[in-house]
Amino acid sequence: MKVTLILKNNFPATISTRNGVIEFCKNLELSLNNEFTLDFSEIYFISRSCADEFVKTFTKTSCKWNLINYNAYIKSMFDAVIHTQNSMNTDYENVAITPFLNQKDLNKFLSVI
Amino acid sequence: MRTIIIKINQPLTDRMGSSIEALIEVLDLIYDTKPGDSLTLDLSDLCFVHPFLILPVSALIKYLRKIGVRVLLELPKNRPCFCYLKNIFFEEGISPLIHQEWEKKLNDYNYKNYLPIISVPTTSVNEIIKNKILSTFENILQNQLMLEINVQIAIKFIIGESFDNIDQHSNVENGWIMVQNYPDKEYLDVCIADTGKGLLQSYKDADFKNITTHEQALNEAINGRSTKIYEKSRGYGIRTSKKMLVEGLKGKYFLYSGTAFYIWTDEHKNISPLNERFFWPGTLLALRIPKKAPLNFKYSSYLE
Repeated sequence: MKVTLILKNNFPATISTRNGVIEFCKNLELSLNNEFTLDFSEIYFISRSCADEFVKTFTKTSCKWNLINYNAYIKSMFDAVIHTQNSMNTDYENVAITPFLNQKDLNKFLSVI
Repeated sequence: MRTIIIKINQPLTDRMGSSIEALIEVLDLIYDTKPGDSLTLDLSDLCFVHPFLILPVSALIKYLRKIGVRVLLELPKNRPCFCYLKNIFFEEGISPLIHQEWEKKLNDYNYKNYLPIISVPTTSVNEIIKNKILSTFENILQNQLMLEINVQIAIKFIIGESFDNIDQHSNVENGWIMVQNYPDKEYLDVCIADTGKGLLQSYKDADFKNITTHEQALNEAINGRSTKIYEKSRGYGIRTSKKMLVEGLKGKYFLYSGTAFYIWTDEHKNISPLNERFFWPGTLLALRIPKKAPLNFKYSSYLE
């Protein structure tokens, strides 16, 4: 069955929280027989975490899915998420640990940032 | 029961660190406070406050009251500062759980230079409200600032990801957010805070046995080490936000959790452990965001 999810009925113009997407997806019948279309009309922005949650939900259950009526920002977010879906963060930067000998030194540092 | 009076000092400059310094003085003084104590926070000498001081102070007041400390306030003698605190809903903030007309109240700020303190619920029953409040917040910010699209999207990304971290990891009933724009300056300040379990405890709860200090926890968090170890494609929120802000927009990123902070600006990048008396109970994020992006800035170059 083909199901179109009109997101503006459940979300405001910006979709911000991962838990919001988790709650939303709980009500979907995620079976192989269903194909989902996410309709982004009147949605202006989606956070990376939310796009990630949508992608995870659909790929985990092997459902077919696609997006419609999306703008360039939404598209770039889904592209980024799909690109990293099967990878882990590997770049690791060890940032210098800079302790302060006393509060005076700390305050001196804070005064210049 | 003891009666304690704590004076909050006026930050000496507009620099980000001045407000943090004033906050650290407060944290030092409240360190010995115990349930049952009566604490008066004396703000009477304040003439102007930035979000980096007033938002965490609001969060602290709620935190202290919750653990049974009686908190009284001595408000500023300076009239404009007194009115400002009223206008930003110090100290409880606008909460959709308390203020039925929160949306109308927020829309009153469409033509001001700041957005008030907002207490955003984090429990999952409030997902619709939570998304709506963040969406309204960002729309008003845009109405106020008329930012160019690249900066607008970057701010949405940074605020969204930062707040989502609180939502996912803090284990506390609400997070806090406030914005101040300075019309005669080239930046705006965004502060996001919670008084939840903080980064170190989040890693400990997820059984990361090798992460034992606040500075280690900060190092892992800024490198995008997600506590959801078995889920791929996680942990990009903080990593991408800070790169977008500092490398891209040339802003300042300050993250404080427990007894350590991380700072990244054009000139500084370090993690600093602090005295145990300067303990921030949760996570505090202070962002100084330029209103104009460098010519070559493109938010999408930072998406990963």
